[in-house]
Amino acid sequence: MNKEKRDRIYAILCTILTIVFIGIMLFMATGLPHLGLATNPDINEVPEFYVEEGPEETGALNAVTAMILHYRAFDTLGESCVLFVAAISVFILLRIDGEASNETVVAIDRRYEPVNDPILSKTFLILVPAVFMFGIYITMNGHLSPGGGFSGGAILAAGFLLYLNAYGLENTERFLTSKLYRRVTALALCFYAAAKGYTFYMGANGLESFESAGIPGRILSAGLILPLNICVAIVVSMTIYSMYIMIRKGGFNK
Amino acid sequence: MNFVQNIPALSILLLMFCGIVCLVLPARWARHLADCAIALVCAASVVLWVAFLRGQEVFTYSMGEIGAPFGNELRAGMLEAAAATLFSAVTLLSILGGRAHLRADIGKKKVNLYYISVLFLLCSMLALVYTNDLFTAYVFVEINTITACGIVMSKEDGYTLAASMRYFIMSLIGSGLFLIAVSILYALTGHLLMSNIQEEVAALYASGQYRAPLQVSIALMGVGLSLKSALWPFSSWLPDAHSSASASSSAMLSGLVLKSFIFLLVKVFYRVVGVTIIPTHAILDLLLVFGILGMIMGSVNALFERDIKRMLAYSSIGQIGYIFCGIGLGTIAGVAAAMVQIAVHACTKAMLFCAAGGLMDASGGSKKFKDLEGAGRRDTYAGVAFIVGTLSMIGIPFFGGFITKLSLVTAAVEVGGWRNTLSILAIIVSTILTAIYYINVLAIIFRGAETGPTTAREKLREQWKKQMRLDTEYELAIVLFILLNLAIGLQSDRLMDVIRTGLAMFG
Amino acid sequence: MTNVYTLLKITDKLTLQFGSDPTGRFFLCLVTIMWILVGIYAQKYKEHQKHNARFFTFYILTWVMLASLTMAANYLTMYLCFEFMTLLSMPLVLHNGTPESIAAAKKYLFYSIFGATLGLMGMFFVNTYGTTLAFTAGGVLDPAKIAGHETLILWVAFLSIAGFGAKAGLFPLHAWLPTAHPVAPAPASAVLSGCITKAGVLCIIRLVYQIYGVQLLRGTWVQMALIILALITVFMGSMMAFGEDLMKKRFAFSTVSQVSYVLLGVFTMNETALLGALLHAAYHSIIKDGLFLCAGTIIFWTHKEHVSEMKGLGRKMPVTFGSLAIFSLGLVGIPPFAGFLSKWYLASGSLSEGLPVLSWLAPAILLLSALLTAGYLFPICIHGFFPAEGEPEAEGKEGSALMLVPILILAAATVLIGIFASPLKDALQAAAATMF
Repeated sequence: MNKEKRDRIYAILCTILTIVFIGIMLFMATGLPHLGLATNPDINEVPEFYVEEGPEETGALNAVTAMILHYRAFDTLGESCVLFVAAISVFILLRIDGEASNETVVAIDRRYEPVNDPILSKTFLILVPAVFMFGIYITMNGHLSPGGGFSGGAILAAGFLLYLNAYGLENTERFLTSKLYRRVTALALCFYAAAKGYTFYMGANGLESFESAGIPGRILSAGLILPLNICVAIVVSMTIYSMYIMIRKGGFNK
Repeated sequence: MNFVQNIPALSILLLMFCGIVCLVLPARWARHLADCAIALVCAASVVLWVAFLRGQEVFTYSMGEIGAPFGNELRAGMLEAAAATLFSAVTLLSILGGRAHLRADIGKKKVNLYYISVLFLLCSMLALVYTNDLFTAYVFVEINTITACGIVMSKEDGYTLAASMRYFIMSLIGSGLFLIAVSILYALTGHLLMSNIQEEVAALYASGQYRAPLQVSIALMGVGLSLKSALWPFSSWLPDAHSSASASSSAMLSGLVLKSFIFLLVKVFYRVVGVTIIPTHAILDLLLVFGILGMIMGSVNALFERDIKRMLAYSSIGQIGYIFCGIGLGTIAGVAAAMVQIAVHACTKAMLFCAAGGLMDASGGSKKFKDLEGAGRRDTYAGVAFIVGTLSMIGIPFFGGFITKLSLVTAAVEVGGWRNTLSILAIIVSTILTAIYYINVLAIIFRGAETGPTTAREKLREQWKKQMRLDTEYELAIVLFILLNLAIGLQSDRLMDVIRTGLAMFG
Repeated sequence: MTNVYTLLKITDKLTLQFGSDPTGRFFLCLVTIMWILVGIYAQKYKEHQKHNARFFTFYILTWVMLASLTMAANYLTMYLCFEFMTLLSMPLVLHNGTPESIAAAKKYLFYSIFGATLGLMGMFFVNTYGTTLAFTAGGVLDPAKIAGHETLILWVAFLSIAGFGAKAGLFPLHAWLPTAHPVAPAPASAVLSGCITKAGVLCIIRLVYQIYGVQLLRGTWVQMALIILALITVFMGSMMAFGEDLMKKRFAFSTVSQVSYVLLGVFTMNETALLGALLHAAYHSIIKDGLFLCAGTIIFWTHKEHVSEMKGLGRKMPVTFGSLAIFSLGLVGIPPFAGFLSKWYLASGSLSEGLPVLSWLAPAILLLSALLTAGYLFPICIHGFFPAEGEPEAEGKEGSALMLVPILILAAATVLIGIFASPLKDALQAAAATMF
């Protein structure tokens, strides 16, 4: 049986299998509880607790942030580590460790990327600071309004990428070097792991920890949630930037 | 609460911490840090295990002062402590045993990245062992998937890239199915902590409500985790991935990664669905039948291989079939047999892969049988390790493989019926086939030329012997592996006791 | 079983135990004496071989495992020794390193491991359904546990006994014997035929009498099936030997046939037949070892392996061919040479057992096989001493003392044990009695 025939049979079988799977899922979905009914199983004491006790206990008005960074902080630590190892895997796959000369790389980069394009430079001159400010705002207000580390970090990353595309590698790498990336990411994650490790240890052993809820509504409240938001934002933005730079150039220059 | 109860959380956090720090360290420091961290975790798990042997009760450890059902929880019993010890010990020995290959295969600047992946891999395996929460399990399943592919990719050649791509896609399909199942369970029960879900599931089964989604979610969990642990026919990714990777990566993948998902599967069946309900579900029959087919097909495929690492990879598929056969029997004795096989196979297969690395070194880097002739004489450590591994795989008493066959057959006889007949037939056929291809390898690697080298090939082998450069770490690792295998074989009744006590605490 | 020594305890039921009983002692003495005689022979034979250190290492190790097997006190120990004996005797078969010998060794390995795995499965079942794994006269299966599962247990018994029969050359697992013997060196063939097959026999004796028990098996389809298999092997082995020209292969088929005589006696399950079986085991060991040593001597000096090439050789090698004649007479069963008494007891035991057709069929086939045995053994000596007119005479010379003395000892034994049969017969009668 030649390759084409085999591929065709394979494609047909895959289609049939997928349709069957979709059919099973649809049939099963008809049996699920209807969305939003008050009698649903997932409306039980757990969401009630989060909504009612959350603000006082944690000091965060945003119940989602309270949940992901306080009650289920271990999961969020895990997710941050997922981002981290994903970046590491991209490094393993894409980073070029050879001795390509700096000038050649910059020259190639310049050929394919917009060079000192006036429209881009002037627009981004206004836009990029605004983007950074917005990102920082979202991060810092994560416990008071919708937002938090993940979304803030993504916006910060967008800022970095805009800057890179407008002003080129050389300018960006005046501050975003490989050393900075490594140290900042490691520091952020270590801080998260250490802080939360301390909380877990104290909490599980029934000891008092330094975390205090503060006054809900103030910016400096909600215990550890604000620092953790900042850590998460750093990790997310650094990860996205490093993935972009791996794909574009195969590694940090410096 | 005494201090040992902190050990599960602290081991996971320590490994995470060291993994993160490795990012800023150069290669040599990363290596030392990884070795120390894993050794420390292994020692801590032993301490925890001893505490359980001395009568410590099963405990839950809430992450933070809020426990179930609002916060995260870990749970540890005898079985979890033993599994954690096993995983960390085998990881350490695999790294030691394959160190020479790591130096050769991985670019200098990426060595610390490799150790980050290894540390996070072990961290995720420990978290899967200890977790009591379904969503945490999913998060660490993700870390496991990514880092497992990372350690395959670290050896940068075309084969590993193609293999890891395939591994990644199939593994992600498995994770996806698992996540769908978790979401359905959450929608039906409103909880993410396993013990809470179990109560709700029991109530749902009794009332008959939402039966279809519940059945589908259990089936999806079974299939999703089987995809990731290479149940036949979902194992097509395994031979390429395990054979092309570096020696210590293959050892860790074959020995540990597959087992961590199976451990999670048993945990889900026991703690989420419940021991009384799960035998009524047809997924167990499916796992049994595929396990039996895997036992036979794995051995049949291994028989035709002329490449030693591919042969060991297919052998893994066969041995994983034993585990699923034990789980699929549906009784506690069956699960106990599966757990013994997990322990024995982890130690034996990791040792065989490290030894295969040594044999390849002694044959100029080639994996083909025709180049491996006499390699067992050039590298005696690998030769002895292969003998021990073969005897264990065939099931000679004194070695671990015997106790797995014994417990599996005993469990099958208890169940009776067609399951009994099929299982025993499959065990007979796969034992014979396993004996044939392993002894074939032994005959090849010990083929000796006592007269001086005459043909060109033999002169080449003399050259390889001079070029061999195996270090003390490798020798130490092989010796410790052999001792570990012998210990499991000789102390098998203690091991069975541990497993039975652990399973009693498990559910 | 006396003097039981526990080497290792895995669980309460699974222990490695050694002990001595009359049957075990008999087999131990038999194999050890054979091993020593063949070892002396091999000192001269080794001049035509390479890698002698390797050969003798595995030679001794195989004996160690075989001796341990005769002294095994429970099923697990017996299985362990059996497996190790297979693994350690494989290098003896492939010693010459030719592709044929490697293929033959793989075939030997495959058949043996297949049989041993069936035996292992039997052990697992006995572990579940029996009170203990230690050999006890009358069987160890617990009647309470078996009730309701008789069919399963009978099938398990049949398969495990037939599995161990692979080592003893029971049809249909006999095919490794004729392939392995021609390619192995002569001393290895001698012990393979003479002693290692007896290991299979001993395992079967233990299983039939001391694990499953005569009460369970007598009169069932298992007994009938096993006797039929033994009879088929007896007849078929003799027929195939009759038409075979390669001398060692002819002797190999003869082994297949003769060892099934022993198995026939074992399966008939009464004292007389068992006595006949044990006697025949002794006689066959002595005679077959002698035959293979003679074949080895002929190959050593003349490099001739085919019977048709050996016409007139007897004049040049009188001692060898003379001994061959004695062995042939013994194997056919002509009084007063060793070999007659065993057949007598086998036949009378079979007749007295009272099985439907098999009671008279067995002696008939024994008689037919004896005629065939004469047909394939006597021509060797006859053509050796009295070649037909006009046929070219072969060249050869008589060998050295190291090779001839063991042959002469064995030939003398054939004669003496035949004439002074009582000591051996009484000892074996006592041994057989302990089995019931």
